Amino acid sequence: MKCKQIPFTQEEIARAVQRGGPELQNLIDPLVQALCKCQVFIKTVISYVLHNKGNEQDAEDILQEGLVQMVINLYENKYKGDASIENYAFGVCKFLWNNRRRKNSKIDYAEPTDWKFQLEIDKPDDRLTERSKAEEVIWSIIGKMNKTCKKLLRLVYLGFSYQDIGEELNLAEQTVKNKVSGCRKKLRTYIKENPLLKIYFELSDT
Amino acid sequence: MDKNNYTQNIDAFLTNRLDPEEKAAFEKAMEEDEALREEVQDRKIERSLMQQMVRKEYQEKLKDWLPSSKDLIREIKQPLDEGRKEREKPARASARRIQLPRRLLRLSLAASFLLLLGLGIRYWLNNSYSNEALVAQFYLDPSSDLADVTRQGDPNTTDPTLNQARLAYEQKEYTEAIGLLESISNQNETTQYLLAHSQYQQGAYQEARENFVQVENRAGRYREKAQYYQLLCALQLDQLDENFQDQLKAITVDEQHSFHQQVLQMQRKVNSTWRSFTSVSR
Repeated sequence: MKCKQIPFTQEEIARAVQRGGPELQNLIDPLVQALCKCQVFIKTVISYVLHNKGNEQDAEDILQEGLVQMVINLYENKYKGDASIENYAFGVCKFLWNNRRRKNSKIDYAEPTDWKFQLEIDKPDDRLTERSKAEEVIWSIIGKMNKTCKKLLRLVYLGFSYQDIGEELNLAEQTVKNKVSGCRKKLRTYIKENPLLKIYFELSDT
Repeated sequence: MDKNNYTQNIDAFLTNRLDPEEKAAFEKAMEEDEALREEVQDRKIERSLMQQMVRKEYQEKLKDWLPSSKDLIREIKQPLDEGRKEREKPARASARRIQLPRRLLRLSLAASFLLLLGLGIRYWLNNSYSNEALVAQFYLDPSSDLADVTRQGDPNTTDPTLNQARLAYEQKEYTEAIGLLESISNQNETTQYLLAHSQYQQGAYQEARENFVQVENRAGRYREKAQYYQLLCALQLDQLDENFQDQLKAITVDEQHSFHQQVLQMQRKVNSTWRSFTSVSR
């Protein structure tokens, strides 16, 4: 499978993923937009779902979820450049679809050995209720955070260094450090107020 | 790496962006420092929260970026649905057709194999144990006996008719040989012996047998041979009665008999289970 619309080479993508930060952020949006325009990729995903007992809605959902998950995986440095990005994205979609089928029909699938996806949503069914409650708490905490903290912590998550963040937000590096530290203290308080969250993340470690 | 660096490198550690030595040093520091372990745990939670935010952000972006897939889906689905319909129609009908013949086919193959096996066994039995097979196995070429006929000093060799009969026999002109031999007025053991063989070769097994009996009764040099060929005549005639069994026994108990071994084998085969089981005959 080859998408002509992708403006980066496999090596450029792998390098940006490894480094994270601004280099990766500048690459991800054009990359995802290119995949969205790649008919070959979209048809391949849809075809796979339809040929494997999925319906139209499933195909559309998996396409969207797959691309989102691919973005997360790139930020988490899970792409090593051993496959082309379009094949990698297809692999993510395939895994998500098989996972969904497994949960729905309790059929066991072997997990792919070449990619290790750590999905927050990939939890056994008997923990579904706990997970839903935990996700509610997560969003309530995010809602409590102010805009600045969300912006700062998001950039840290994307792999930006304090210096990069300073350049991005026009702040001195030390100011960024202090602000991030303050945001983390508040976050720790919110987490302590919600012990369920700790349990949820302890479960996700197992 | 000092403690400050460890704290700064938590994100790099969690996203596997440390080089191997840094990673090993970090893991060692985690083992020794509980505060660092707690901070790593808190950072995991923080990262998960941020991940949910980024996830939602891109879900919104994709609503604008991803074109409607409905046309594409329709394009892919149509041949898929048509193909499925095509496969289902004949498949349902042919599935039944295929299942039945397959079972029948297996049964027929098994039956054919058993039939062939049975025929093969029958053929083998016929070839090994039938009267014809036994006769073919035990019949001995009388050429050496005929050589006796022309031996020097034998008064019988002076009779030209006998020699002519012998020549006719060698040329397989059995009718001529029989005519010549029967024309000899003074029948002796040799004449009768050659006559019996000529009749045997012509298929006149009853006459041959009678002549072999007369040769036996003369108690001359052809006596034991005559006894042996009587058995072969009986096989040809399928007269395997009590008389036949007595004749067999008479030779098998006589270890000095010239045909003792051959008759032993013949007795074994004639009285074998295979013959009785299949009732093999001419």
